[in-house]
Amino acid sequence: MKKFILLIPILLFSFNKYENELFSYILSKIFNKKIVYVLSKQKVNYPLINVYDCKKADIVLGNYNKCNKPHFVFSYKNLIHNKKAIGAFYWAKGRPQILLLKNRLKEFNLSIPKELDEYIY
Amino acid sequence: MKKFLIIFYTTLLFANSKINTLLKQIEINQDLSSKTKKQNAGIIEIFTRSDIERMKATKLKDILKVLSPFFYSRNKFNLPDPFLPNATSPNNSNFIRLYIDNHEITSGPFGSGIVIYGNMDINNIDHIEVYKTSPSFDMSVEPGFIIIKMYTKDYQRDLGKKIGLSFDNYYSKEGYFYQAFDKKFIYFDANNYKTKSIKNLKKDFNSIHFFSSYKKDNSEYFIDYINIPKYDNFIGLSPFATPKTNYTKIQNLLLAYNKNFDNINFKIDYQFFKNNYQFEDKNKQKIQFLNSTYKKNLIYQVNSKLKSHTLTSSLTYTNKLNNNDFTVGIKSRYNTYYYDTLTINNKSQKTKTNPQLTNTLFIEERYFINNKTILGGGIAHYHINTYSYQTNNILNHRIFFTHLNNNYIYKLYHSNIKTLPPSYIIGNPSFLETPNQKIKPMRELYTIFEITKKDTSSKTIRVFKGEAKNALIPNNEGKLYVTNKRFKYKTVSFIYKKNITPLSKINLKISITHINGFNISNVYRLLERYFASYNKFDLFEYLKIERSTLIKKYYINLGGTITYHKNDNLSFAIKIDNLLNKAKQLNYYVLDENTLQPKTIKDFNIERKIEILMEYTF
Repeated sequence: MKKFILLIPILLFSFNKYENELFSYILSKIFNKKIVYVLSKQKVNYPLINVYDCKKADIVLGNYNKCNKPHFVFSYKNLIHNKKAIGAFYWAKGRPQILLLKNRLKEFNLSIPKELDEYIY
Repeated sequence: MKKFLIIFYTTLLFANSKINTLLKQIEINQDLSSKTKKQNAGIIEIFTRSDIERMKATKLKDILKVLSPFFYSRNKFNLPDPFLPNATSPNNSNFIRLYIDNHEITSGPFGSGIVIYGNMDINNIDHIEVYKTSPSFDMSVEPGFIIIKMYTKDYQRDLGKKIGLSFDNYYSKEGYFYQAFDKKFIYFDANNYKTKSIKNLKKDFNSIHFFSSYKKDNSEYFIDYINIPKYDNFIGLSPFATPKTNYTKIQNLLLAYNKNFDNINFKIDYQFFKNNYQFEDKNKQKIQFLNSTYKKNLIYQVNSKLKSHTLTSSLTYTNKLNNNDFTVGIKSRYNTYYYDTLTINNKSQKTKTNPQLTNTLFIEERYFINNKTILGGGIAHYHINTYSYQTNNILNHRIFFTHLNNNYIYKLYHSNIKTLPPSYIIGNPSFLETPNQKIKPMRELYTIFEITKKDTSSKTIRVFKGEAKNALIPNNEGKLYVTNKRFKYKTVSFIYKKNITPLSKINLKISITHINGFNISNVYRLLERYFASYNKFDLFEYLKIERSTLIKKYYINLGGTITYHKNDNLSFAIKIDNLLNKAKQLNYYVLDENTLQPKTIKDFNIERKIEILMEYTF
């Protein structure tokens, strides 16, 4: 249990306001709720809320192997290799990209919102 | 049901547009300069990735043209050289130092790389930082007071390929390609640049540019190669502006290596530079007559084939101890050049093979008095031995003070910078009035005070007082001599910056400069830059206005870029420079071939151009 009381006591970096808004929007659609609890090395802002226990988290932002909750990662490589990753925010061709994987969303019994169709593969 | 469908699709449309808008906002507000810029390292002006993208700045010239008061201008050789456009020497702006990924680009004995790269393509560049006055001493091996740092694209952010094509109303053509891999980046550019000729004075050039870099752990390697098979030299050395042959062939290769340990950075660079200058005047007989009759030393023929090798290394150590943040370092540069051939006026010349050696020792310190006040400065000692001809020991220093108080930022800079001209000038009878005279370093003394108020916008008032001593300036024949005259200048500037929306911003700078040199004059300048993005369009617009009490004329340069993104991967743009055809013109002094009286040739710094660009990512 202790090992799940995580991760980094001090949150060193925070997402910028546009990134926070983007993740809030996407995650609230996927989890179909307004407030989403995230396990993350980065500080997040409302309606996302930082938690330090895997059990309390809805999703992990980044990679954390010991937590079996769905992951939302920050590179295309991690999206492919991390089987718990349901989606990714990453940079390619000089611009930010969003990609969500339909099969992985289904594995975690998460909703596949129509609004995000353009970004689901 | 119909109503429901309309609401459903409208929601879908807005949902997608919300994500797209947020992605665009993230793209525009991403700024890798936050990782690279040096705090308290002089007055800094940053062009972010999105600025460069919206400007469609494909050449360094596109950045220099929207700076003030430092600006883009060409000398008689058609080389970017803002300081002394009328000298007969090809580079008089040696105090401007140019870097790619923290590795300096030089042009061998011709000094700063600005003379070559000022016109070169920058499609591999992510962002640019311009440090003006009092830049930190850990930046350059040789002393300088304007430092331009270009940073290449981040591999991981640019994964994929990009191709770009452009052409303009003078039938210039340019094409480039780059590909970013996980740890590697490859870039290739081919350029055929043409512009308006004045009589038979051409300013065209062809170039091929290759760049590649590779990153592994804390090490980085890169190679930068430029080949310019033909670079037209405009007036060049021609006394009457009547050249028959007047071009240079240039090759430049830079190999660089950089390694970061915990607090230590080690860099080593090797540069090979090859320059082949061919010049012959139509009025050869007339010049020969003048030389023999009036004991002039005018040039009608040059055949110069020069090669140079430059080796640069640096070791810096950075650490934080309590409230101290300091950097110490040693840097060294060994630069040698030799001529395979050198004939002037059909006479074979003696060629030098001795090297120039520069050794630099510096310390930079920032002391945080409290969380709102910083006091700092730096000292650098340069030992410069030029061809065993002259040795200079230069000691430069700078101090700064920054204080934050609520919404106000107060800054004070003071610096004493001495610089030497490029090594080829030292002891060279072709360019100096008295070649046996040892050249004193030019001394620039600055004091700058500024107050910035930051709330929803940023407003700055900057007062700048400067003085230049021992400047190397041209005489009537264009040959250089060290003047004892002091040039004094004072500038008061007002700078306004505002992010109007998350996708648009405006920068405005108004300044008055009082110059007390050979003439006393006031120069009034206005510079405005506007960036915006709306749906599938990006917009950039700039306006520069200048007027001085000496030349009572308004110079107005209005230009900009409109980009249309057909989809995520394909975009088209139109870029316009000098729309009103009233941009700043320079007077180049020559002799009239019939009357032998002095006359001037006027030429635009920035020509009126319309360029069409296409870019495709895949």
